[in-house]
Amino acid sequence: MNLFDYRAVGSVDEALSLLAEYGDEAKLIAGGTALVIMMKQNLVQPSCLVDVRNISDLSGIRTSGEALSIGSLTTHREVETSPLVARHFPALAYTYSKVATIRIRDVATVGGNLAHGDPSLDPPVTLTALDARVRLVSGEGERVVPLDELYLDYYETDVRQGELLAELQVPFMPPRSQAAFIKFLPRTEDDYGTVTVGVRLTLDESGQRCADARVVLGAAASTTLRVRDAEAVLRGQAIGDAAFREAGAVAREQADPVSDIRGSSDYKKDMVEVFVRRALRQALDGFQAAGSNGRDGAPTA
Amino acid sequence: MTSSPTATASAPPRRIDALAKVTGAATYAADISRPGTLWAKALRSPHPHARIVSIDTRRARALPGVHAVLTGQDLPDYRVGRAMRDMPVLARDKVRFIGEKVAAVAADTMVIAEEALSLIEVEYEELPAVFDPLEAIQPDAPLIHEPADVRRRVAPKQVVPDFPNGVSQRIWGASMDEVEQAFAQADHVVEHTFHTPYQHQVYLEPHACTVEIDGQGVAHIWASNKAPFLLLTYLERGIELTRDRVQIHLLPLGGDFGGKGSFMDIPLAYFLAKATRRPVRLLMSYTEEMMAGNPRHACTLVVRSAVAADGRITARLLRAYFTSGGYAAFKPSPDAALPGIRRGAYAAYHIPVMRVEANMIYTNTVPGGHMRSPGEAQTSYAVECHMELLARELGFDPIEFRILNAPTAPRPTETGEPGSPPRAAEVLRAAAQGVGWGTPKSPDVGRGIALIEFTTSPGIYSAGLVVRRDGHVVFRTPIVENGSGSLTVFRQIVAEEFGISPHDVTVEQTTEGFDEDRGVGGSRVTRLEGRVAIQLVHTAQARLADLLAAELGVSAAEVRAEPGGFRLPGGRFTSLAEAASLADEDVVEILRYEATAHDASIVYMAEGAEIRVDRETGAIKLLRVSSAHEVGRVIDPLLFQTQIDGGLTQGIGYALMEGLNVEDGRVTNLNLHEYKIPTIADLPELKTVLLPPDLSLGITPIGEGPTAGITPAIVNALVDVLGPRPFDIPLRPETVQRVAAERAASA
Repeated sequence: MNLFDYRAVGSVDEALSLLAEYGDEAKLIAGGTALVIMMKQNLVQPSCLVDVRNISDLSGIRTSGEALSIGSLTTHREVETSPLVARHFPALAYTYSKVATIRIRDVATVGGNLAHGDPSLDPPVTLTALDARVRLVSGEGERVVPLDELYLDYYETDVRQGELLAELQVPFMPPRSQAAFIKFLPRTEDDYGTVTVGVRLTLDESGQRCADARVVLGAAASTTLRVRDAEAVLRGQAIGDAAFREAGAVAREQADPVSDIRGSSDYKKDMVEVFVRRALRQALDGFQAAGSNGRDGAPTA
Repeated sequence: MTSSPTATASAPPRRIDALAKVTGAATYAADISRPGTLWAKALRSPHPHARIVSIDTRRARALPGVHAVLTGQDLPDYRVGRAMRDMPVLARDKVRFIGEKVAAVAADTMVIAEEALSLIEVEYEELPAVFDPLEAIQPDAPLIHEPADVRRRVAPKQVVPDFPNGVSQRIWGASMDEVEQAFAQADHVVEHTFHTPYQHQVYLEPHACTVEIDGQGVAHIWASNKAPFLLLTYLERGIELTRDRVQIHLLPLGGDFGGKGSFMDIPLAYFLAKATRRPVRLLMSYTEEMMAGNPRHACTLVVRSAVAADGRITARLLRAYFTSGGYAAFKPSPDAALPGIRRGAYAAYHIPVMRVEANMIYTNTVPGGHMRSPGEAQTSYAVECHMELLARELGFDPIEFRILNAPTAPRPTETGEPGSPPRAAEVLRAAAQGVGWGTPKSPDVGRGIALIEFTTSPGIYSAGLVVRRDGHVVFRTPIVENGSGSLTVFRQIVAEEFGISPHDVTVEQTTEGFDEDRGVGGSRVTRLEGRVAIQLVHTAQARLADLLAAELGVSAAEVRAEPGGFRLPGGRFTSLAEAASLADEDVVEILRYEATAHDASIVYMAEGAEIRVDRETGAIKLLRVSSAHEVGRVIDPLLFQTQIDGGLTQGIGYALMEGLNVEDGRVTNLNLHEYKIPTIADLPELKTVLLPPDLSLGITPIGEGPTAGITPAIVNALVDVLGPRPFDIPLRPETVQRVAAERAASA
């Protein structure tokens, strides 16, 4: 690890002015669960750490118009246990519950996770399936970026120099929608997923056909990967295993996972096919479950 | 269970070390901070096999804050090792594995030390490398060490084989002629081959040490090391640092699991301390641990058995090829093999013609060391999977087949007389029942079992006992608390033997007054150090009885030790404290005890596993685990149970997920994100059955057997689902999925 300046700030403005001062030599730190590991391995060597964790107006979960607003300093554990999240997005609460261990979830923040850009992370998968977006602020103003445009490559995001990720916005689901998330964990509960899948399924008024769908993969490419071709396969189709199987096969072809200790690239592609099908089935089963929220994405593996 | 809040509040923590550890007050090796300590780091080889052409340290030496830069050329030509001394402190002419230490820096801070390492320029000439033990013994294989050097450096009982890269060869049992003859006459001859990976111990505490040389030239050592007297020997023989110039400060270990018995970075820290005249600290990162710790040896095992029509095994040949790594230095056995090989290979069976060949072979990979059940974990996995496959391929019931071949002859008791026969059938049936053996199940659910014989190993143990004049008892021991609760167990043994409260016993860790002790390991500490404790109590009681007799003017024979004190002539009772107060000074006893053959305790145990296989993904879910044990005297039931649970967990990891992933000599899973061990969330209830105690067995071993047994039980459960064929560990989902798909296609 290198030597660095450490500056704790109390406001967004203060953070932004330090970012302006240090340029790309500065790194924001909140929970630090990912950044510190990378610093210890000398993968990043910032000359200044700007600690934003004491900025009070960047945390908390509330409804805001047509979306749920989650402040970027909200911890994983807060999202996991939030009644608001549970009511509107049980699959999202479940997703956050599957991240690492409770010790990590207690300190890791929503914003830090979204800005990290590791394609193996869980929340971006479900959030992309939910059409979520982030609000980025900088000295020049602010902009809102959909998650499915945020990720450019391994650890590379559209968060630009001088910008701070302030808020996550998760739009409420269209009527007749269900989401599901599956993290395939054949080794341990605290592992990264071998592959992960997040889906959102919206039925038409007949309840027999798919009006719209989102199919998103984690740990299956250089970024969180939305598979639009699989979504296209589903749209307008009679809902059921045949359609799900077809969507899985399309997703398999678009996945480009790396071979590693969790399995070869081919094996992971096979798993993409299996788990896209299973996640869609799970979302569909959610409609049948009691109440409008249905089940969350408890894994079947 | 009933307990009042008051009783709970006033009770001492049941573990001596509990409070300090949960409050963070306990001091581990990495916490030691001597005034003026320098941080040291080692530069490690990026090549598996290369000649060092040159090392340029000038830029590193010039960096402000750097106090010393050492290379192999700056040190005497020492070779260190636990038994065979073949490892230089820093590489000299060549490097033999990725991660070998090539140079080292001591600096004011860790940051400066790391920066200095980046300024050292090493020119290598890469050499052909060999990674697989069976390739390394081929006639054209590259030689990792010069054969003459190997023979020159042999340990006392080491036999160097003739093939290339041979470290050691142990052969037990019948001649090849006898074996071939038995195979020729057999109804069935079946052979299977198995592979096991390197397994890291994954203690929470990576290796750390601080060395400080005082004004008298005495090297003070604070290190994560579990056997101080063995360490003294390593330093004396390896770097000519004699005992009178070493003071080892005992510390608790943040986990051992067999891996903390070596010298690791201590010789290097010593030379850096000597060069800088400052205390020097070396702390391995977990990446360094994974790359260059001393993990369990990887192994290839070939097992062939002859089976008669009635199911009796008439002959067996087991050949094992262990991956030694680039050096043999981390193996403590004087034969430079692994102590558990014979036991695991012979296993819990009586086979008339039996031959075991254990080959230890140099490879350009990380040097292997000891981990829980060293040698046994590999051989038991192979033998118990082979037993399962034999039974299934030849149409025998897996449990009855094992029982048929288990020994029935009585074991010796502690005093050497014939004792009770092994209860193999009982433990097998109990473990099987624990996983629902014979009850209906889905075709995706499998059940497996394994039978294990475990024996404690011998060794020299020392301890001291002080009965203070106020009656308080101090047990002095050089045993390091490695986390298993040994100190608490010693307190209990001493208290029980005197018949006093554990409150009245203190355990003091020290090396003072002792000259030899084998240290933690081999599932023998409670049995052997416990025996020392018991004898010390008896000696102290005899001395106190003499005092009482003299005081009362009676013969010593008339004074009888009883729980808590002594019974005097006429029936009067005197407490231990009253007796001790008669002495002019504290009663002090020291005992050095050399274990003999009948100090070994043989026990049988069986492990069972029930799994569910997701055929589409290859994922294995552990549903039930059971473990059934013969036991003798159990000192502390809870600590005994934690040894079973911890042992099972490491064996579960070995079966399902653990293993260094080595590609061309390079470990690719260099951190605990990639190298996973089971978490509590991954475990089902670990069911334990203890057979009614057989006190003729004495204090029985428990630390290692469950690890060796549960691995094959899990693999055998997979065989139950996917059919008889050998599976390598760990059982990767990808392999399971492929085999399941092949079976579905052929069905």
